[in-house]
Amino acid sequence: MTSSNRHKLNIASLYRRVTRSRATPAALPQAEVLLALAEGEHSEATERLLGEVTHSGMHADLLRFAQALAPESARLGVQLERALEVAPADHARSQRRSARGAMPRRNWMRGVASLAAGLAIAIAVWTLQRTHNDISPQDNTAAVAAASDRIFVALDEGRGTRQPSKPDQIFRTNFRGDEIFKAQFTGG
Amino acid sequence: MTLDPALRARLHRLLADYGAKVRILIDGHGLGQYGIDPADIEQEVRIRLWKALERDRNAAFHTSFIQRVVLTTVIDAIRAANARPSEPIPEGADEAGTAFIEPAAGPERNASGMAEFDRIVACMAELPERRRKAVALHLQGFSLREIGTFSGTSEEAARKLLDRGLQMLRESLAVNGIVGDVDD
Repeated sequence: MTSSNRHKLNIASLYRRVTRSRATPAALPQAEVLLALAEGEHSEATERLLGEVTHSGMHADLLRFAQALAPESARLGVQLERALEVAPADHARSQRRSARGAMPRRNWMRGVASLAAGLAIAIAVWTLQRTHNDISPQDNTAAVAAASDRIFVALDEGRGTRQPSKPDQIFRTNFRGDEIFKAQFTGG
Repeated sequence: MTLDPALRARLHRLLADYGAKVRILIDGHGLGQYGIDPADIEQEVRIRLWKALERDRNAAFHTSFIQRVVLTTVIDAIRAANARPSEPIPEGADEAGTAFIEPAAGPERNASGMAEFDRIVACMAELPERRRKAVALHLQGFSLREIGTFSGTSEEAARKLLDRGLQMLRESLAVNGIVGDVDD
């Protein structure tokens, strides 16, 4: 039988079938390297893996699978991001809603606090006044004592009653002249 | 992380939708042939992503992080499946195109198919490395753009590498008495 008489081989199909049936589990690729090769990165590891892909159907399938995963994975990433972005926004909205609900209660509390503060001030003023009244006599005594704090207090005591200090009599305006030369003199 | 019930339900729904899509992709890429259960992967991915959300919600937004979670889950599952004692080949494996032995082929043809494969690989080994890689990636079903991306070249450069590589391979296969179509 000559080659021309033979069934024409589908070489690509044969190649794929055989390379798949000869897959060796010991040479499984690393996900990182597979992903790097799928994304077109080049390194020693990706070159080694590319060598495996050329003669291992399993590696070729995994590489194709890694490529096919990209669009769906990107879509999921976006969907997750959106879902988790919306969540904090919802949270903030609900917080604002609860804040609005709490506003009347907060006003009421503010009124009570003002009343309490006013009452406290009134009590403080009243207490102060009471205290001031209680100590007033002592204050008067102290004032008198301070007034009589003079060097010659003994002299005052000798006079019996203490006179309030008066201006000097010599220069009084109502100085009265000698009686002898009074205008009543008749010229006699 | 404390979440209100509505947000929690929404996140669970998003992860459930994503898990279902991952399952479809696993089925679509024939990863089930490596001994993994797509339903288990779907469940595990959802759990891992939820834990990641609870741990650090910002990290869970990154596309590469989500992809890594899925790929790690799949690779772990394949490793675990291969560590298990061998199980009988499930029915329908041939339909998935996983078995080398073609159902319609007789013993002679199957044996020759394996032999032809070895000869094809031998012919490919004669190609310069860059052309060989381009041809192998083409046979694995990758597009010119993907070949360019993986090889670090432009699509046009990848096309030139592939054209020259395929030309050399055809000549080499013809010399070795293999008549075949290198394209699908």
